[in-house]
This record gives sequence, C-alpha cells and structure tokens, in this order.
Amino acid sequence: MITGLGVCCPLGRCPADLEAALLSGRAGVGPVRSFDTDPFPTHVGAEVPDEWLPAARDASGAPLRGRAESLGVQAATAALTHARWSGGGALDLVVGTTMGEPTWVDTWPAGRAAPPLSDVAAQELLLSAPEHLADRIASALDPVVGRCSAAAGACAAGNVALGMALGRIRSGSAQAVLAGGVDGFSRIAFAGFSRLGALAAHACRPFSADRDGLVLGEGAAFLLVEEEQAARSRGATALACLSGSGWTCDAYHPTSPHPTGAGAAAALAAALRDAGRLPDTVDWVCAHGTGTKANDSAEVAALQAVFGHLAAPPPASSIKAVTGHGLGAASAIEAVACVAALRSGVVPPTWNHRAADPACNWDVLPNAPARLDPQVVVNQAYAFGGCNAVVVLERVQP
Amino acid sequence: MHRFADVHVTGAGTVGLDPDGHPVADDELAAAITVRGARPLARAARLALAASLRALADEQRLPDEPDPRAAVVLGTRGASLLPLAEFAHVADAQGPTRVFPMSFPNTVASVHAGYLCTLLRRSGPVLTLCGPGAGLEALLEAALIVATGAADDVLAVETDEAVPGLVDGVGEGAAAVRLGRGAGWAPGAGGEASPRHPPLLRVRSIATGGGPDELRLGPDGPGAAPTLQGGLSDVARLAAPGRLTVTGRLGVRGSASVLLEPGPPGVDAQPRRRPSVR
Repeated sequence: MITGLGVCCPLGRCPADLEAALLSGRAGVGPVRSFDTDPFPTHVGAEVPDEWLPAARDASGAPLRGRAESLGVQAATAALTHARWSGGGALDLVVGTTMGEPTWVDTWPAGRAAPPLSDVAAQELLLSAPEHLADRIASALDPVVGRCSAAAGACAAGNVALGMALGRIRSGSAQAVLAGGVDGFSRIAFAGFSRLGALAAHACRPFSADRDGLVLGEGAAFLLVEEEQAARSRGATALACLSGSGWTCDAYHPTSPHPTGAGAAAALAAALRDAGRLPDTVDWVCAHGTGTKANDSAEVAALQAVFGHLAAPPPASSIKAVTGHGLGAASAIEAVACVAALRSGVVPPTWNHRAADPACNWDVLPNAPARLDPQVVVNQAYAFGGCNAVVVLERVQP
Repeated sequence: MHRFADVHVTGAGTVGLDPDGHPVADDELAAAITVRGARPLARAARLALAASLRALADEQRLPDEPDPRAAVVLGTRGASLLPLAEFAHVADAQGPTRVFPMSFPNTVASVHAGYLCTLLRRSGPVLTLCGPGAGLEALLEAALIVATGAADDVLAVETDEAVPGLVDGVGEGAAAVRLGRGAGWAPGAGGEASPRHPPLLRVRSIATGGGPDELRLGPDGPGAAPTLQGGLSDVARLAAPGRLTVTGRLGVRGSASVLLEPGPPGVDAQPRRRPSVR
C-alpha cells in the first residue's frame, strides 16, 4: 500500500497544492527562466520557482548543488514526513530519472566539453550520472536508507521505480520502498527535444487536433510503498493500493512510439493482469499525453486495443498541459495525482484541449474536472527506447 | 517470497573486460555484431549488443517479430556519459540548434536497452539500472522477472565503455547472462529438455542486503573478484564448473550474493557452445 506522498513540481510543493492546481487549471508554464532560450525556436517551459529550492545557486548564478538533487531531496523528505516514517525499519530507495543530474554539464563554460575531457570535466560528467543523483538523495535521507537503486527509465522512470518497489514488496526482499522520479529543468534536454521537433511553440494541448508538442518541465515526486501488514502494524494510513505493474518495449524506434500503440497496449494489459483486474474495472486512465502528434495518437490506439470493446470505456486525461513534461518525474507526479483522485473522487481533466482529433477518438475529459469516484485507475508512461511502464492504483477499502 | 529455483542460466557471453585495461579493438567489436542496424548505437550499447549476441549464440536466427516473452535488463554506470559530453561539445562548438537530433537519445540510458530490444527482437519487460553494482542488480531483477512469470527469457546485460575516472583499472567491456524458466527441466514436469535453451546453471538463491554487513554469503563464500564493477561478468564467464557464488555491490547502495549451481540432475549442464571469452 501507499502510505506517503511527496512532490515538488511547478504546481506546488505538496500533494494538496498539486491537486488544487490540476482541478482549477492553474498552469505552471511560462517563459523559461533557467537559461537564455534565444537560440531556440521555442521559449516556454514549466519550472519550479528558484525560491522553492534551497540555495540552488550562488550570487553569480553558479550552481551550488544539483537542481535535480534539490528537487529530489525535497520530495523524498516530504513523502517520509507525510507517511510519519520514524526510521525504525529498513527502507529501500528507488530513484527514477531521465537525465540524472545535468546541472554540471548544463553550466559548463565554453570549451569544457571539448575532447579530450579534462579531469575537471570528467569529474563533473560523473556527477551527472543517475547513480550519483540517487546516491545524493539517499545521503540526504541517511541513516534510514538501506538499499538504493537508480532506475534510468527516461519518461517512464517514475512508474518503473514504482514497479520495482512493488516487486520488492511482493518478493519479500523489502517491506518499505520509497520510490519515485526526479528530473531538473535542463538546457541539454531542452536542446535535445527542440532538435527532435518535440517542443510546443506556446502550450501543451494533449489529444487536441492543434497540438504541436510538449512543454518541457521538471520536478520530483516520491511515494512510500509499504507491505500491508508492516504498514498497519506501525499505524500508517493507507492512502491507496499499488496493485499492478507492467513493463514492455516497443522494440521499434529510439524516440518514436510504435504507431499502432502495440507496446503501450501490451504494457497496459500486463499491468491489469498483474493487478488481477479486467479492463471493465478501470474507472480512469491518467494518460501519458505529452501533446506530441505521435505519442497521443499511439496512446489512444493502445486504449482502443485494451478498452475499445467495452460499452463504457474509461475516460483518459493528461495533466501535462499544466504540469509540463517532467520527464523521469512525470509519471511519479501523475501517480500522486492518481492517489489524490482516488481519495477525492474527482479526476483532473485535459486542460488546453481545443478541438477533437479523429486520430485521438477517446473521451479525454476536456477542460473540466469530473467526479468519477474512481476505484481503480491506471497510470501510463512511455519513454525513449520504446520503454513502456504502466501501474494500477486502487482505492483502499475502509 | 519468490523462489528462484526455477530460474536457470541458459546462455552467457562477454566482450572485452581485459584485465590490463585495454579497450576492445574496433574490428573485434565489429565482427561480434552480426545484426544490422547497430550504427546509431553508442559504444557502450555496441559492447552490450556484442555480449548479448554471444549469449544468444545458440539461436539459429532471431525471430521475425519481437517476442513479448523475451526481456532485457541493462546495468551500466556510464553508458550515456560520453554521448552526453559529445552532445554538449557539439552544442557548445556549433550551437544548440546544430546538434544532430538523433544524438540526443544516446544521452539517455534507457535508450541503450531499447536498442538492444529492437535489434534482438525482444518486446517484453525492459529495465535499465545505473550504479557501481548495476550489473549484479540487473541479474537480480532479471531473475525476478523470470520468477514472477513476467517473461520466459531475459537477458541481463552489464556494459561500460572506458570513461575517464569511471572504470578504474578495468578494461571496458560487457557481459550478458541469459536467464530462462526451468519448469520444462524439472522432474515430473514434462521431463524433456528444451532443445532451445539448455540450462548451464541454476539460480539456487539470491540474498540481498542494505550494505556489506547485512549480506548473508552463500555456502561457498564469495566468488571470484568481479572484473567489472557489478560482478555480472563472473556469471557470464562461467568460470567455475560447479557451484559459483557471486557476491558484490548491488545497484547504488546495497549488496547481494547469488548462488548458482549446475543444472538439474540428468541434464548436461555444460554449454553446447562455449561462450566466447576474451
């Protein structure tokens, strides 16, 4: 079961702030502040305000610590506080990420990247690795963390981390796992997605006919996953049940989803099978919904493959219009949104939706929250490398 | 608690791992990669592909369609670091709008696993782990995937190219261990040996801990010193004809001990084709 939530994203620093923004449509998107975007054709992003981060830069603007580390430590600490985790038992940590800690490479002065790398550059490069980010977050949580893993699951990393946590709880190798995803706003990532033609000019409009890409974001979210009896014995509050996980690979292309959504559908089916749930039990799908042409149509194709035969298939909505795409943090932030929806009964809509797209023929809950009282929700994530990860979350029965 | 007794090593392969720290010769690497489409791969991914192909040496040919019951778990420390440095260098020298778009994916570690899945026709679970013990963690996660039934055939792969300061004193290289289900080999469960995936070793037990002090060693004690950081290469080398206990760091923090022993009685536990070991 899930007993603690922590989040730090452009919409807020606690689950309640995140939920309020998702339901009101308050977006965390604006002009990029972290670096000069003049060389790029797009200039919007979804950044966490610097004042939310503990002294991330010195007076000259140079980084004092990694931005991803700052985000991750804040969310991980908040999740443990929320769960009233006393540190009395063994705790595993699984950190999902796309870029690791890009702060150091992002701020390299001109010429530092030129080969052969200097010792300083090599050291800073090593600090960029996902394992270093995970270790820094673990260090901030000392001494409670035992085993620590870095899951490089790209844009599905949060769900991958949750799936690993579920596997460890079920296998008995852990009784409590703090799992989530982290990515800091990055010039490297901005440049990369820009060159791939994936960035929206002004706004992210998932599933809308006029969508033109994603808005790069950042953030961190962690969820404390505990074995049920262990959680109950320490008096923890059950917020939701993490009941299933499915991973697949498209085996198709390094960046583009399979156009038929076959891999995504397989991950969705695997997650439902793992949860012991049939498709007709799902009440809401928290979609990956990046706002790119290719992703959204492939995702709807996957939904049609799994739910299309139902008389009343579950609606699906994407929160990325207001959160931005937090990369490795995205599906962890969305998992927090899923837990909030399970507890409140109200699911967030797809904001910024303007026109139906025949290629996205699905109820995407445009622009207005819906009271669905969901019992079972699905959280979807697809990533570079064709890596798909889906988790199933359920309302805890009193 | 999952039982790992049904999980078998059905193939293994290595490339590189020169104890003197020499890099893998380009012609050796090219010769080891017998599939098309490897050109966009970063060097670490090419090393992983070469080791994987050696682990799959018993296959007559790869399937035409991706196999949803076949999976990949990749462990690495720095597979994306030099691609990241290269991306940063081009962006710096030529401008961020002049970077070759498809160089960006290689800065993301999961892409290397995705390439392996694509080229080896595997569409089951895929996972990428980073850290000094990522190789051993990949083996553990792969065993878990088999034990839970999420896939029947899993490649656990560890790879790293020579990044300055990353793999001190160890040559670059990759190790791949193929794990499969052993149900077809168990007495009374059909009995006939699968002609496709003969087991080399059986996973007897896996012990994990939060740190070295918590580690419960297998009955045979620690195995050979890991040549690559994670210790997966020990398994891939199949150095011991009998039991083999691989002990080492796990992921970013933690430790594990994996005890392997020869396959079930009555089955030839020796590989039909000895994996290529340099």
